[in-house]
Amino acid sequence: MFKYFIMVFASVTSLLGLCKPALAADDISVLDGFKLGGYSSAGIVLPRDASAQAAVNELSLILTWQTDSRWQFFGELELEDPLQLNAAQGLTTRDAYLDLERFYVDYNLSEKINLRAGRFLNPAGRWNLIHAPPLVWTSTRPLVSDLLFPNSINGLMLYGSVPVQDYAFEYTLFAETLKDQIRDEDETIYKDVFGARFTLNAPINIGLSLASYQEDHALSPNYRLVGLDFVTHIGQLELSGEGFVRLTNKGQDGGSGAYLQSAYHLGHEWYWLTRVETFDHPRTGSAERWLIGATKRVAPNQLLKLEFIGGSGDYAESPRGFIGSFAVLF
Amino acid sequence: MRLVMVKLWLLVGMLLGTGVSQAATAIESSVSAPVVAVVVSSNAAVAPVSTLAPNELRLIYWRKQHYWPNGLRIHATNLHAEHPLRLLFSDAVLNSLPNAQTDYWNGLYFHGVSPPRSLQSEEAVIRYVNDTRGSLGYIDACHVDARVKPILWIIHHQISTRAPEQLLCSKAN
Repeated sequence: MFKYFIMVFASVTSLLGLCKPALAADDISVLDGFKLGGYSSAGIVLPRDASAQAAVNELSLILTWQTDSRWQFFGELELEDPLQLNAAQGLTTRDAYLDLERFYVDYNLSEKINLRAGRFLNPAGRWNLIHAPPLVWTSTRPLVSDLLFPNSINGLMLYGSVPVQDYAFEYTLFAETLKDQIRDEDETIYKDVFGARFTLNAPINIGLSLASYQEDHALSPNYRLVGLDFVTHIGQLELSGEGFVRLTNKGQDGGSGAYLQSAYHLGHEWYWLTRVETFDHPRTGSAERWLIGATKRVAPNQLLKLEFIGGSGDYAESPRGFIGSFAVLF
Repeated sequence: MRLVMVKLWLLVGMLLGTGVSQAATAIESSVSAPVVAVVVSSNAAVAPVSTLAPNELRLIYWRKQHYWPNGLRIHATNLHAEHPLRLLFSDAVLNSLPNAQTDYWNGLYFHGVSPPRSLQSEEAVIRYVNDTRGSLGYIDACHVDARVKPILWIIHHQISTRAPEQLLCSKAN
């Protein structure tokens, strides 16, 4: 099934590339609603206690379709770890794999009520929703935004936006209807996922995330997740943070974590980054992370990131040491 | 040298004195910010609405509102990012300048939402709005003609539902 999706995605993408230039400028056809974009990033990692590595981290293609109708389509296919260079293996593509990140259709019932069906990002917190390297200030992701809940969900979503004075209040309700069929590397598979997210887009952008789910094994408790996040701008400073608490259905600790991040505009599109985070997981224990770095916005769609990471605990997702990367959105 | 300075001073004074009444309108118009008119097509079959609330304008230009009440998809247009009217409009309506919105638009692009279409000139906005169902744009209120109908105005940095009582338009406008 997964291969079938990929083949359809690739075929549609290729055909669009061939067909679009042949269309007359004034003809409005279904194909005119398609847009193709994507992003990619590459970088080097110099871990404190392992060998250095350079890699192309991902190449992601985004295909959207939107016309004047109330239907729209979104698809994102990602080639993960397509190329790596390290002392042990040399130049290798052996860790590369394809991941269907998102694949859904939306139907607009009204401005306040939209329906989504397919595979979409779990709207838990802010980072998970904008996790693409060209959209985030750092090469590494806060642990709590990655390891405490499912990143994507196959199911249904109801979402909308309601004006509140000069701002927008947005809500999202979602439920999983089909658990993940493919396990990517050591990924945790979740099931019976449902939840909600509420955000107020005001000068301080505030979000509340709620979810219930369990891991896909017999002994997993049912988890209840509560998260708060915010982002605001004070002069040249962007301040953001997220915090999550996860409890089992019996009220026991199921993990928690939080981070606080600042990005200060130094001038000439250089930003000074600082982040502190804490993370606790029942299986892997607790960890702390601090990060300092500098990020240059080379162009509106390109980021060059340099960062040092320290702290306690070992997590492959957030190695301690130096990381440099370049990310582009296209 | 002193004589030359005095003569120059007198000459400037005379020119200013005689030209004040004729130049008053033009000076006022060029010194104060222009009034921006938010426009839809004057053709009722193309125009999506005849009135609009200021907060709806904000939501539309942040791409938080995608459809008109009658179900038509909204096609909002911007002037290009360096256009003086774009800067004025962006500051008044979105409370930020275009170059400070990069993260926001990149984030929306990641979710398949593009920013409002950017056009190169006010004439291009008028033509697009006049021809395209569900569209709206903004131009200098002095440039409103029979092809478009203003529904909101930005006067002294405020969004107004009422037309300005007086428009000071010079030929240079």
